[in-house]
Amino acid sequence: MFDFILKGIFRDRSRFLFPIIIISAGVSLMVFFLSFMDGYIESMIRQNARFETGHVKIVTKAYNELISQKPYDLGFLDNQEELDVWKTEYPQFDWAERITFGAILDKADSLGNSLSQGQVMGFALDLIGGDLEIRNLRLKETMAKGRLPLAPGEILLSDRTFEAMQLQLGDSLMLLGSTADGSMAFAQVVIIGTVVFGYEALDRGGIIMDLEDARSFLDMPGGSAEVLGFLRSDSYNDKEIKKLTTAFNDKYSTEDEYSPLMLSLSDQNGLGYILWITDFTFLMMSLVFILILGIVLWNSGLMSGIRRYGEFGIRLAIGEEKKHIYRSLILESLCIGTIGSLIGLLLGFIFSYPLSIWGLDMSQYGKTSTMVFENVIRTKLSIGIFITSFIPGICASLLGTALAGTAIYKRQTSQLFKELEQ
Amino acid sequence: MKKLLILILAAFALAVQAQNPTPQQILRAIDQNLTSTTVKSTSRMVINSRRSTRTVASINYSRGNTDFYTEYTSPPRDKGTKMLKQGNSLWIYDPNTQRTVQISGNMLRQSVMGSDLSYEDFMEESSLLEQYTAALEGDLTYEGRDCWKLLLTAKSNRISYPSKRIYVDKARNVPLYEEWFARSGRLLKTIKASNVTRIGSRWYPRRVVFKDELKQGRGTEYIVDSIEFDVPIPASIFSRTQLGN
Amino acid sequence: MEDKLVVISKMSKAFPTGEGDFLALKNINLSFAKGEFSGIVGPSGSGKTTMLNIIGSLDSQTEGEVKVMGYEIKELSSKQAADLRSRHLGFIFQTYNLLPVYTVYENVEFPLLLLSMSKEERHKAVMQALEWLGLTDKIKSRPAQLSGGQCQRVAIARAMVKQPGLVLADEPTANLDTENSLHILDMMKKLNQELGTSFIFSTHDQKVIDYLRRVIRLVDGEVVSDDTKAR
Ligand SMILES: Nc1ncnc2c1ncn2[C@@H]1O[C@H](COP(=O)(O)OP(=O)(O)O)[C@@H](O)[C@H]1O
Ligand SMILES: [Mg+2]
Repeated sequence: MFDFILKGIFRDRSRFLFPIIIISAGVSLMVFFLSFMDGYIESMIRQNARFETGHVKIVTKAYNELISQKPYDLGFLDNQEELDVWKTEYPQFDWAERITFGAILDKADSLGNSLSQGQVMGFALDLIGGDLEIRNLRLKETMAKGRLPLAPGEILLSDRTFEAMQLQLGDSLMLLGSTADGSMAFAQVVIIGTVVFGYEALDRGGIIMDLEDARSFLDMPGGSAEVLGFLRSDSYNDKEIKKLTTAFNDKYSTEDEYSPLMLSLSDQNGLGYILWITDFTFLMMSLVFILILGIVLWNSGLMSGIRRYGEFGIRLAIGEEKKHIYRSLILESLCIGTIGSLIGLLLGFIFSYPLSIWGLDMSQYGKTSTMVFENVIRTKLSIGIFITSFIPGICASLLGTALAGTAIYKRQTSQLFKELEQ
Repeated sequence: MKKLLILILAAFALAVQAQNPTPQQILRAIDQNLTSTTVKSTSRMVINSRRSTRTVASINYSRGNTDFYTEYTSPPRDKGTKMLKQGNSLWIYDPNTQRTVQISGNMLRQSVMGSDLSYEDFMEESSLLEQYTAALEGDLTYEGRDCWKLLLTAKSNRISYPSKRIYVDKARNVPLYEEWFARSGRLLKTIKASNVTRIGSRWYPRRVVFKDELKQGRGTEYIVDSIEFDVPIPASIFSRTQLGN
Repeated sequence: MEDKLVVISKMSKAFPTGEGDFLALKNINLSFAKGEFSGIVGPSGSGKTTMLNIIGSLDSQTEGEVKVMGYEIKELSSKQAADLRSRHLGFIFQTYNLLPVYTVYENVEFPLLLLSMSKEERHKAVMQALEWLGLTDKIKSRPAQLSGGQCQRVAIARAMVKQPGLVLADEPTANLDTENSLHILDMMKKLNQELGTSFIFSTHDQKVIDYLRRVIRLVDGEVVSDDTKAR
């Protein structure tokens, strides 16, 4: 019977061509769209990880309570030994220490009369020791003027603030803030370059400073506010990371409010919510896809069904039950759905694959480089995407036929013959 | 007989007046007690932060209501840091970089040395009478002392705290308790004065606890170790050029 | 009683219409014996198709009894009715109703797929049926490549392939010319004689009527005459 059905489908172009075109078009679009979205979100999360959250982040428990205020005075003090232990224990990560602080940047004349002054938000990270953090913050891409700091005391400033304060590269300025224990903190800094953060709060007054400079400025020798861990493999799996953070916290977190607490990426900045929303959106898209394609196929099924009343009539006369005919229609649609979806996957793959290698350079559409977004968005092809596209393809085909096929039941058996006679 | 009656009435009126001075009179009395043409003091500020307790010592000079100079003497990290206020301007000198920075605008709201006091609080004009109009809200006993309860309303909106409530020791003209409010009516700071001692003709609180109600913490204790009123202070102390020396 | 294939008594069929029921068949009393070659004859609209549909269990009567091979049509479940059709009944239509996507061979094989038969058995039966109807050279053809007469022969082969007890032929010659009509009538007559298959025709074609052994005349849903020719 089954090969009879297959023959039936493929000898009748009107029966398979339209549904297969529709399904494969839908599925390939779905593959493309999902892989693009997945790539985009992954890029966003990856950049967010690099910019802000790490794949994991270790902070003190006290710091965590007020984490949105970035209270460096509640950060780690002189914890290099501890950090070395963590580094050997978790070799899958690259570690980076950071401090975020607020300060005043003051340009003064020789007497100390302020010529221009601005409130700034300082980002302190390891700029001189290696290029991990330079890559993380995309400093090379986002620099507007000057060069990267090479020596102590050299800092980068938000390009907008630089212009607003009418500074020159090489200007020596005072930074005024407070140390971790509240004393007044002063540092003399040289503006060696400017950056465009692409993030309003920071473009209004962000500075980037080497970690060691910040440690002496804030009187935090060997200390830091946050210790970020970046997976070397760059493939973030929330469940595994959650397991890892739990194990870490069980081992190292104590009653002491300055003991360490490890946070996962999804614990921070509402990224867990974004991950969840992404999954939810994918699900909704699949459902909408099934619904729309299902309706289209329902209609085409009705059209071809009318053409096939003669066939149904004769099959009833030969001794098939309506139920049986209905089931064979479903089987047909399953074949068509499978074939259409497979073609769709192939086409989707063909469309998406080049973009997953070379990516789409958004900067050519006038978007400027920013720290929080990568310029090149790559599609991300995965088994998950193929499944999320393939299944709706089949479901849509089944749904369309299931709806169209009910027309058989709505007709009197003899009525099906009536239509033959004309 | 008639004369006697008038005398009695007059005495009575005087007594009433002595009993109930006007609110403005109370402010004037406070100003007379606490301010003078020049003041020189040594003080310690005990700052209780969440993580530690630090004591910062300083020598302070002031002249009139407008000029003010402080030099920190300990701890080592802060030693030599100087703060000069002239009118509405404030400069800070850092001995390590040998640079002077002017503090203005929003920065004035920041805490000084992590304490419960802001630069603005330091900059406050010391004369209450010039800044506020007072209304008497009654009297009460605070820490065993008979006090007036006053509500002060700022005369100008340039003043950092639009209103304050203070309890003033009736006998010594010293505010023992103060609440400072924001324009919204939100309580920003509370101040408790104690160790009120006699210095010459004045009564002066040697220990004041400032508490920033927006911060968690145990407040900042300001202790006056020595204080002299109306002593000669060389004008150079209050000069900008002196800061760098 | 045993040799009665179909027994119809006091049977009526009403179709619901806009203005009340329309009686398509009225109080029919008929019976058909095994091996009959008979026809229901009447003008268009007289109720011939309705009658064959009921006998073929594709429809059911509204009143009276219709017994086909011992089964009361009205009481059959849809599964039982399908079973009856697939085992015992063959259908031939005016419009052939071949499945256009299948070859001649496949069209004829189709009814056998519903019966549990092996591929070899099916092949034998299909070839046999095609042989009876002289279609062995058309095995691989599609209906579209055949003439009307050839199509109707394929339809007859399809009805005959499972060797049913009863074949219902609804105006089988209406679309055919005289030569083809006579040809297929000859073939059916031969099958009737050789295999003992019973045929019930519906027709108003005089050529067919001439072939019939028994002629039942229907006018406006009523049997007006029932004549059997002497042998
Ligand atoms: N499903 C139906 N609903 C209503 N009337 C019908 C239906 N089927 C047939 N009829 C009516 O019953 C009568 C007999 O029809 P039919 O059996 O097809 O006649 P014949 O086959 O002799 O031409 C006709 O008047 C026809 O209009
Ligand atoms: Mg008819």
